[in-house]
Amino acid sequence: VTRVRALIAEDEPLARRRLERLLRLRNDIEVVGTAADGDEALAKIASAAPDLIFLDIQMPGLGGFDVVRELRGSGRPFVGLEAKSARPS
Amino acid sequence: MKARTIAAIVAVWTLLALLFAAQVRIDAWYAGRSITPLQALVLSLAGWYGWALLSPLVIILARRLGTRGWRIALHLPVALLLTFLKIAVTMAVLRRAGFSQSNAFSVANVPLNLVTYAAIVATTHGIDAWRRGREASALLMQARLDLLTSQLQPHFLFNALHSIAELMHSDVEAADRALTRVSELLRATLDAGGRQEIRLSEELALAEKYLEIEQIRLGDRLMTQIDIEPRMLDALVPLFILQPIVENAVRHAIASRSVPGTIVISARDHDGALWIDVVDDGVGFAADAVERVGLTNTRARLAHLYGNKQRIEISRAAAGGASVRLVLPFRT
Repeated sequence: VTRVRALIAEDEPLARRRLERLLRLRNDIEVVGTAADGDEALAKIASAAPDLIFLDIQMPGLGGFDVVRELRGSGRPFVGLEAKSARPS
Repeated sequence: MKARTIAAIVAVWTLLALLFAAQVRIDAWYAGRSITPLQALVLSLAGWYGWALLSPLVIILARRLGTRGWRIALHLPVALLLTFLKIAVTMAVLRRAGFSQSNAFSVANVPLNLVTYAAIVATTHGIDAWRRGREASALLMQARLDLLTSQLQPHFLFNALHSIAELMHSDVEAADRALTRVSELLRATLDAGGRQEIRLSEELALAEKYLEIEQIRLGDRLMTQIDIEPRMLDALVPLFILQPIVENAVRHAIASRSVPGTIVISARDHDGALWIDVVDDGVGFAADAVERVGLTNTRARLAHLYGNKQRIEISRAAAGGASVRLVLPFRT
């Protein structure tokens, strides 16, 4: 079986670990790397060349949309991770 | 003034005039004069509509002079002045209409007019106090709703629950504590009842629970420091007043940066006022953003509870982050 090579970019450690754990339960996906922010994601995408990227939209520094913009034209599929919240102010 | 309000005012004074028309006839009968029902009605209406016209002025004055302090004494000369003025005008009008002087004065006696003035002032304060109370509870309800909404929204509750689910794999004790905090915070929100104010120590306990839950999610990026003058712990503060401020600090100073940040909550006595500061060392506000920071409900609640004895100061902290200061009257 060819496994899809996936990378996870998510700034919250527990959320990152959780997604990684859930993906590892599947035998059709291989997690080839994780990143805690957009810059780390770009570096790891360049080195690990994943087939699929799970990308948090709201991250400190480079956000998910910035990463997508950087990689425009690369043809890599992304899955956006987001839980948008209302602001108290 | 709305048309409905004006109609209500006219109706009240007309009703009074109708009631007193009977009194006018009886007075005339005792005095050995006879007047027709129509004449009695005209006399009575002339007397009461004078106050209907004066009442907007009295209402404005009542609100200006307030309910406390030496300034309420100013009502006495004003009441006397308006009473004599009103009687003089009414008498002049009635004489023009062909009434004799004695008849005209019978509806315009001084004590009744003074009592009328006092009644307008008392009614104004009564209605205002009732309105303030109603608006304050509406705002508290709104604050509770906002808090519940922010607790039940995906970003907070579901992230917390998923973080806890993950935590169970590595640290069951920590997961247990976290789940307990979530439960305590939800319970506190649902159990608060109708109280407008709680002790600062209780309000801080709520904020700490919230911060502890966020700490699970954000890890060591979120550091907190609480620094309260012991005497201030018993001070009364509006329920849930800290929540939106602390939430803003977490969102803008911590969650948006990858380096660790600290949120400091402090409280102290300053010239008899309670100063509560929520300061972070994040990126702070842009120069123009200070004006735009909303906290709309927070501002409205403080204004209703404490009038002009409160304020919110939003500024750039010395360390570069955001600083929100609540200045409240110190009461226990």
